[in-house]
Amino acid sequence: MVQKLVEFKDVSKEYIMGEVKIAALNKVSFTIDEGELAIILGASGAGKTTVLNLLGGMDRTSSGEILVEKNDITKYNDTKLTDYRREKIGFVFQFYNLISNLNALENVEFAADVCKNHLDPADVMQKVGLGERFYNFPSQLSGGEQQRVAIARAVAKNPLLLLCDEPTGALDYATGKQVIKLLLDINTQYKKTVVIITHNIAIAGIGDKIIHLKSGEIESITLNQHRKSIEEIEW
Amino acid sequence: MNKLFLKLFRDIRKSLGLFLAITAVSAIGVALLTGFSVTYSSLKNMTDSYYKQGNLADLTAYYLKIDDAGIAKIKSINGVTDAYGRITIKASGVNNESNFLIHSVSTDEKIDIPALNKGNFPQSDNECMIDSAYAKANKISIGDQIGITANGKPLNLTVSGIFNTAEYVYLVEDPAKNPEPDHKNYGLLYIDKSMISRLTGNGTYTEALVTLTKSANVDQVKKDVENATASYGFGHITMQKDQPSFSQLQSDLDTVKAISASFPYIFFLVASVIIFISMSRTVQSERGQIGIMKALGINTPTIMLHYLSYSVLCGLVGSIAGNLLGVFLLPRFMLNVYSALYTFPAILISGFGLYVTLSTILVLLFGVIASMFSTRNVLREMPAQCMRPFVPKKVQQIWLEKNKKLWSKISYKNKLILRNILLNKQRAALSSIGIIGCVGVLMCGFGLKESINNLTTNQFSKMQKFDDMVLLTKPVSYDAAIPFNNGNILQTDRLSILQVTMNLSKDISTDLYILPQNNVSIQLFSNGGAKLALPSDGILVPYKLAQEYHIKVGDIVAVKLESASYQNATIQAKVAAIDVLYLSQDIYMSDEYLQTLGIPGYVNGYYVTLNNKSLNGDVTKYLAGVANVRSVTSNDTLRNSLASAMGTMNTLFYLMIIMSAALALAVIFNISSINIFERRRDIATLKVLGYHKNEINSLIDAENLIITAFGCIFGVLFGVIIFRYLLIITVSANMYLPYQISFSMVALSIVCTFAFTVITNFLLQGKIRSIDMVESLKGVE
Repeated sequence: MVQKLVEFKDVSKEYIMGEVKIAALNKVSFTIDEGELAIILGASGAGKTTVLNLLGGMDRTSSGEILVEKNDITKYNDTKLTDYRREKIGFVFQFYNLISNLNALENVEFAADVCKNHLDPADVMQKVGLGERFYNFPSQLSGGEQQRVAIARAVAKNPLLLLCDEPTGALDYATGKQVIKLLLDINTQYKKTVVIITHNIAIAGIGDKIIHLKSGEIESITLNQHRKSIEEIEW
Repeated sequence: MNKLFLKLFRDIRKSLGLFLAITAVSAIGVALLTGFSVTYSSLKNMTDSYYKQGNLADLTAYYLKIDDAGIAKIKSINGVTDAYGRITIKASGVNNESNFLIHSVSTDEKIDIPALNKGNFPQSDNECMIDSAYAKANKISIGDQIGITANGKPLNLTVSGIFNTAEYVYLVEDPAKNPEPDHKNYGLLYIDKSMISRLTGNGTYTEALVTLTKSANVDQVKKDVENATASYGFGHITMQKDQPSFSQLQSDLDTVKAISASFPYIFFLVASVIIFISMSRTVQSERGQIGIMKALGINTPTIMLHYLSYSVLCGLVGSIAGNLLGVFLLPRFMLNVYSALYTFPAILISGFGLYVTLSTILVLLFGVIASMFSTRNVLREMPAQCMRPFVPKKVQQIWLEKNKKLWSKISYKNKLILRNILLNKQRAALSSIGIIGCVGVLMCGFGLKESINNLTTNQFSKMQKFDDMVLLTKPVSYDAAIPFNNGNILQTDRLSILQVTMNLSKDISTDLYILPQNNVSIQLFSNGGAKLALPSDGILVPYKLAQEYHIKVGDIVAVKLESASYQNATIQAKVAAIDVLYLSQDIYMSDEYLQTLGIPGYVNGYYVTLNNKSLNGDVTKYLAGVANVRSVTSNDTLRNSLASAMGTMNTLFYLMIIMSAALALAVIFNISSINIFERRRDIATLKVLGYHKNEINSLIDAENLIITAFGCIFGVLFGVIIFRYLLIITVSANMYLPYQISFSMVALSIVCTFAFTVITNFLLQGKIRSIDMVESLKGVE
């Protein structure tokens, strides 16, 4: 029996910019199942990043509920929300956001350190293919390598959810493909629930579920019975 | 160009805290420089014109008796411009406990001229004029009667005038008894010259006031005066600069001047450090904008000017604020402190134009140089280069990592802290400058406080063990019976105090104390702290005097006893030991040694020790009533009066604590703010990774604490140096404050510095809290 891991219920988010209210999300509802690879698709400004921020506990909703493992995280206070990020969430960002003064391995260890049941950082680094680059600092790594460190950092925490915000946005085609492949592998090998945010329709084909956002509302939710392999997609 | 100014003002508004901090530190530097300089120049201008107006004597010669013929001989000496005879008598009040110094005065005399505040010079025999401070303290006005006893004769005088005199701006009866002016009980009383003969029975003077030409050979004139007037019972000569009132004021002037020449620069330096760091950061983060400006064809000097304008603006605002404080507030405050000690006319705040200009130029110069250094690298780059993203500094392994064993034991948090410090060595070093300044200034403050406390304890508890000092009107022979007896008196020690002139590399005038060897009243100590008994084979010379004139144990020095009781004899005294004296540099000798020199002793005072100190009030009252007793002073009174004389030092102390706090807070706050700003992406990432608030705070806190610890090490070294300098500049000629770095003053300074850092850390938490993880993660700017 497949469990519902995440449930968005009528989630709205408004930003107040000076005197103007901007509705970033308007009554968005969807679910993500355990082990699923969900793609959140949409053009710039559609509200993708807002969804990710809310799901990741980095921002608060204006209304609605977000249930993660049946707990409503919108009710959490700052400390609980911090613990939630610490134990349940792994982030991968468009701009990697590695800590510049720690080397690759230390960046992974640093994040893993605060979680109770983390994976072995060196092991994960091997898995993402960076066995040779343990002691390089972020500035000594290429963009693709930095993103792989970031993925390793997220995976090593052994999170419930791996959230990826435009993970290929800053990378070239070939490198981007490698990163997507890595995320796919993690989804299948570690049985991790992965959420990828992208504006790239081509990538959508690899997901189990494609949530299409438009102007802060759900346009469609498509279940994909036949996930494409990485070799089948191109953009 | 206009748009650039618009940008400037918006930049300032965006980081107002930084702007205010730089401005505040600049303002403190300016306020100190202007304030102390203006205090100095106002005091100096006033005293110069006051001294000139009063035509201060260049030298004063003292005699048993000298007449007009003798004065005429002095006048004819080459280099002497003018000379007048004057009589000096000590007198005491009939109806109160006041003592007076009586001088003869005449309107024809043009040296040491008193300046009338009110009324007239005394014209008839029973008129006198009185100094304004005494008149004020005792509420005496013109026409009042004053009853005195002078030379044993009772006199009733009518006050005809109230005056000030440049000769006694600092009026103390006996600095050894009470270093602070006591206007309630000691006054100047000037009477007409014609009155003298009635008082003394003849027309002779006791001193000659002499002025010299500018080119006079002082040593030659002194010799000539002594030779020409030897037959009049020549005593000694005091030069203007050795006169107690003059030298006291001079030493305070020197202190103010020396402070104005040192402490402000610490602040200018710190302000420029903050400007340098913040400007480097601003320019670095605005590289892209600079590239665009260049691409748009704005030339480098214009862009440079834009960034320099920031520091110029900080400097100007700081200069205005600092100069307002420095011209209007600080000098008033300092001059009030001095006005309480000195008697001089109202002081005009003067000479500020020069210092306002000087401090403004200095603060601008420090700022402009700092920002020029921080901007020149970026401005040298080509526009295209500027617009490309900044290549982060290559992060390398730090030296600690080479020690694999050690490094692996360090937690990630600490690794991050260590790397951040070691990779930003320049910033850490510059932050330390603030800490170093802070610790140094604090050490000066605590050191000064502690020295004064030690001095008070040593002087009044360990050295002066007597309870009361009794001085006699007329000296009695050594064998004379003690003229008082009281059940509460435990022991009475005979005492002889007299002025002496020591023939060293120059003639030094000081006091000689003669006491029996078995006395229980005075305990002297060597410089090392060992107890010294009064030797039977020589004199004790104080450490400061010995240092200054290279006197060693075993030396023979000529000491002239300036007292009629001792026939002004000169003795060849052997230096038996060097002792330590704090408040005045006197010579001590035992009765026994005096006897071996074949000179009969005289007694002009007693030290009294009591059984029950709490009944001291009754005893002093009793002693004051005994015949031939001139004054009774208790040790407690001496201790209290010293405490208030140290008022200036206390003011300095509090000023230093405030200054050091301002330094530490401004530097750590600013540099940490910049540090936090630069690492906001890292900090946002840590927040996203689920690090708690205090875990993130502790990263920044630990870094500041490490920098503080590091700064403390050098700060203590700096403190050791600057405290020594401060002691030299603040201590007056007769005083000796031992230079001692104690554990407690170092510990207190360090504790306070850490406290300042902890406070700053607390203030910084708001900045860390306000970092928005969502915003910071969006993109590289």
